[in-house]
Amino acid sequence: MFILSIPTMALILLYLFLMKNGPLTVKLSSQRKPFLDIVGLEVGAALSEGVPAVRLRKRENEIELLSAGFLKLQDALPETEDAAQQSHPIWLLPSQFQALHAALAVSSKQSFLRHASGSGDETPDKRQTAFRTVSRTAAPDLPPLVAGLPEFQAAWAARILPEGRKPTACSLQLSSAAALNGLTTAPAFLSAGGTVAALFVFPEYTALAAFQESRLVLYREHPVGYVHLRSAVSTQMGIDIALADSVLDDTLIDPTPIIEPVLRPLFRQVEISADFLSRRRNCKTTNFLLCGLPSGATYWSTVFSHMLNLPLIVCPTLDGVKRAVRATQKNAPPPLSKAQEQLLMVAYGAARAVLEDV
Amino acid sequence: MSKPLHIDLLKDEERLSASPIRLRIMMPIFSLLTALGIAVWWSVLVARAHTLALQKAEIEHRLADLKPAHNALLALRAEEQDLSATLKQLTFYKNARVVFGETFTKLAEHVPDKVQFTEMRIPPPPPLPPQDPKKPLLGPTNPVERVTLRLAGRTNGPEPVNALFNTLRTPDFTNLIRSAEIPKGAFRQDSARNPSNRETLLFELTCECAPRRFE
Amino acid sequence: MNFNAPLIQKLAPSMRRALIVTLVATVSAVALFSFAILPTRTRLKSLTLEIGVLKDTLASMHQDIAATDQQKAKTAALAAERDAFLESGVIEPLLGSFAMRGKTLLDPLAQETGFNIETVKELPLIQLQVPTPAPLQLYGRQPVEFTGRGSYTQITAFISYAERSLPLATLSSLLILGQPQNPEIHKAIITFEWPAKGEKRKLP
Repeated sequence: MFILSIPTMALILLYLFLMKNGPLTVKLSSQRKPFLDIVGLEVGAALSEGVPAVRLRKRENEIELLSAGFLKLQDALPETEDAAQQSHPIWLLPSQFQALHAALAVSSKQSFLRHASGSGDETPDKRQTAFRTVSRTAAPDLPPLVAGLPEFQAAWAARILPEGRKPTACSLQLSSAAALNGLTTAPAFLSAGGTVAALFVFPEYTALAAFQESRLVLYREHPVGYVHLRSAVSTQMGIDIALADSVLDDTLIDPTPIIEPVLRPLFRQVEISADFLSRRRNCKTTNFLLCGLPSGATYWSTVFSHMLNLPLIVCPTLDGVKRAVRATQKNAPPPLSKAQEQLLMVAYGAARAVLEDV
Repeated sequence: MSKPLHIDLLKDEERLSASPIRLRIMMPIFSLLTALGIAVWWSVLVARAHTLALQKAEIEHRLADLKPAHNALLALRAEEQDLSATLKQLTFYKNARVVFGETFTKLAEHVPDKVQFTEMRIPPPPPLPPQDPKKPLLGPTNPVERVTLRLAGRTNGPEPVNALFNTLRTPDFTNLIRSAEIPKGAFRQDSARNPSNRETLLFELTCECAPRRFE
Repeated sequence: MNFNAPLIQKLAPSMRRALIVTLVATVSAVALFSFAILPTRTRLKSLTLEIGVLKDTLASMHQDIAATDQQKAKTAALAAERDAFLESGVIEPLLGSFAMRGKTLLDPLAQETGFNIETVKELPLIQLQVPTPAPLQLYGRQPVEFTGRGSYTQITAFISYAERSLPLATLSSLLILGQPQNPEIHKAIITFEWPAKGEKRKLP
């Protein structure tokens, strides 16, 4: 009788599994239990510090930081399908970052995030590379935001965390979209009323996101990032990149003449966007926030004020986030500098997006 | 933002479980272990069956070796049984032996003077009833055989016969003669011998003797 | 629940592989149990029973064989007893005739007692009671009829003497007839019977 019960059990398990993976899957996924412990990871950041990682926990409707730091993991994002097929890294996280689930944010030069125009414009390289796209409506009167990532890069990133070990991926986002979600608890954002425009500075580009009544109403990207500024200072002053960062953080040498030409086109776009918002949506943008810039924020603000006659308020990434006691325990990563915290913007935003998506 | 802008590119089949106990892994492992367990169990059973078969063959070999000696013993037992049966049958005969000589000798001493025997008869054993040829019996079914003694003679009156009759009921004779009777009409005149002599009477005495018990 | 193909196709390849492996392993397990385990267990049971019976047989054979000497002695004793019995009075034909045997046995006695044997006749064998189980060699009652003359005293003396001398001779029938011509000498037909070999049965 025991032996005959084994195939019966197997059939029951099969039934349960197939029910889970059958037509009810969509319904089940929409009713998925909310996540309470997430680690945000930025894939493809290619930072010298390592892979940015931020672990957040939601307790009694409040989000607290459990752990933040940089992990020594292989995160070189494959640029081609062949490279993706040949590369199979497996990420094993240290214990302080072993939440049950992980939100992955991919930083890819081939990805895109933009408003859908509705005219059916093609994604870049769609003729040659398959893209995985998702659109999301931020507001009913606004065109939806479309995010796209090459399919091979999405599949590669989805496999990076192995099954059967903590964490496993529960979300795959673009770094630009993830960064947007890190703003909500910032005191600067909370204190700013009306329309807020935030500059999210990435290495190779800067994203401008405008929020009206806390809803995203505009998103634009400009191909100027902090790497360009750092490179300009390094080249023109004849110093290495590390020293260039020091110059940008220091007040001893004023690099404004060097960086102003680099920033001018960006800020000009900001001006145009602000004007667009004022005319089209009747919202005057007076609050400008700066996020994710590891060095040179002072000079960014100076140039900005000079051009637009408005302040550019620096918004530290982890500002306003409650630190859990666990973060000070023995195995906690070493404390981070302010510059390093800025580099966690994407990872923080990715984790935040999952925790608050109920 | 009142609600996060969570643009999720992860497919459902890419959502993996962090639990080391996964159906995809445990199901095949469990079923393979079960199959393996049953295979091991079967091999143990086969080995045991082989051992038992060898044991059985060995016992049968030993039985075969002992067979002649055992057969000899069985033959001895059969012979013993046969001898017992023979002795029993012969004992039936021996136990059924009835001795007459002593009684006949005493009879001569006790016969009254006035009695003259003309006949003394012990009839032969009655023939056995006819047997069913399909189911022939090995022997008689009735172990008891009746023995009678008939005395016939002459006398001059009933008194000597009565005296003889009473004599036959004495301990000297009761060992053999269990009962005696004078059948009706047994007393009659002896007209054949001397028709003028009407005093001579013929008599008969029938005695039931001890039966022969072939038991 | 719908088990149609599209549902199976929705499964990840790894899950499909796992299901196939599970199915194959389960079917193998069930087949192995039904066609290998169960028959082998049945065979084991029957072998165990057979071995039990054989062991009992072996033990009883050993026991029997251990008692062989005792059995030999017992059988020999019985054979001696039977032989003694036979010698004590079971008769066998002389030159194929029981009458000859009887005459040989009783002539001396008759001479001693004065009884004059005139004729001797062998009568048919009478079946003797058979015990259960029956012996292979059956015995019967062999009557032999002696016709002669003598006085009552001589006749009774002859009968007595025969009964004393021959322990197994039994008076089977008797007829003493007075002779009108000679009241002293009577005609006597005396039948003695002895145990004698009868039919020999075949082994069943």
